[in-house]
Amino acid sequence: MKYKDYYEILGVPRNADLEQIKKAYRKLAHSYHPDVSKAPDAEARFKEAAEAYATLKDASKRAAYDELGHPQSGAEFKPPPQWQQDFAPGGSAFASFDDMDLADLLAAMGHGSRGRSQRAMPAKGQDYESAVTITLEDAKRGCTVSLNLADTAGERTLQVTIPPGACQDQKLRLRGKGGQGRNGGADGDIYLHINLAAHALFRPDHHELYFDLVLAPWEAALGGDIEVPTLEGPVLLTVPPGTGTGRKLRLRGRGLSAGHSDLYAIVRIDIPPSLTAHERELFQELARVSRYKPRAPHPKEDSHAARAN
Amino acid sequence: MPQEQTDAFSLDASKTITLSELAECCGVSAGDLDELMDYNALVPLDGVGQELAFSAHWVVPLRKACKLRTDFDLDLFTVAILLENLNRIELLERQVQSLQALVPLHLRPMQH
Repeated sequence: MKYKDYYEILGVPRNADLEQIKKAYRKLAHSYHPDVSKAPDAEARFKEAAEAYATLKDASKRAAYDELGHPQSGAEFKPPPQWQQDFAPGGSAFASFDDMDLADLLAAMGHGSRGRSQRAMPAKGQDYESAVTITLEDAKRGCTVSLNLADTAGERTLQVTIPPGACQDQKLRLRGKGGQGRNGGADGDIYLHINLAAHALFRPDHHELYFDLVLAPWEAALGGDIEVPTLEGPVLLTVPPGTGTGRKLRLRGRGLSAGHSDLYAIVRIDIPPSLTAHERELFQELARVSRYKPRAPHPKEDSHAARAN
Repeated sequence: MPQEQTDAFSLDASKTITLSELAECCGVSAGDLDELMDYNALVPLDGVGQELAFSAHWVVPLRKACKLRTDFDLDLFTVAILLENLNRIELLERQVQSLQALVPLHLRPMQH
């Protein structure tokens, strides 16, 4: 068994008190936490610090660890013979220490006669976290995704039914599908995070969907029935006369949760990039006869201005 | 390779979860959940059954807060503050998504 110098890992003296140990651990944990650090060895460093802290924060584990003396880090050592009965449940679970490392051995403390309990406690299996990306179409109608799992129980494929109407960042719990429980403990769970793949037209907001509807000025002014896309295929949308840019036109029940959420067309009015001579004449005629003043103050804005003066 | 079929339980506000299930999901004791409720960081549903029940949307932020508790050896009061902030972050992220859905494609910054 290889010796690990937990004091050196945490960077504290061998007579450090609990407060110093905790402070040193937190500093390292903050530097190397996988959520924070991008360093390639961050996860390993974090686990190493956590392993050291798990032993040194516990008075009885620390006392047992200190019994080992102070070999060189990485040096081979043989645990004291009495550890066999101290750490093994009933003194028999570990026929030998050969296939264990120091962390396993110290983690087992508490299950032997030196510890607080005389029998192995049930332990829930490990929970797993995973993510899948599905299309908007699959999210709307529901789908089945395959999760390939490999753990101590071997390799398996899990076919997960995702119910219709899934949305971005939805979390699903697959109960009892994680790691195997020990000593009669329940199997762990899988937590599945759903991502929706970007779509060329539609943008999801929870169960609602949005898309841009570009109208010509005359379509916006006169209104009409316009063919628009939906996840189920094109439909006719009635654009009311006088529809302005930014207006949201609702297609009821055509969101991700069929019948319960909506699809919105967000209007944007665009003009032809170039005008024919006749088009120019028509626009000039419109400019001449129209009484519409787009920059005239809104009645409400006008009253604000009056108060400000 | 063996294949298994499974249905999924959605962890959103439309589903409920009991106190003991929540404790099991998050690897904490019922006493810890009581303390989080004392701090008003965790709020049960009103009168659902004999056992306290919660919206299932608590599971993910609470699991995250409890994992950070283990990783950094935090006390439960800190977990309560974390939980409030994780919920706030989730709310703000949802608001950002809502606003992004309204932004026309031609006005969006280039995504790299």
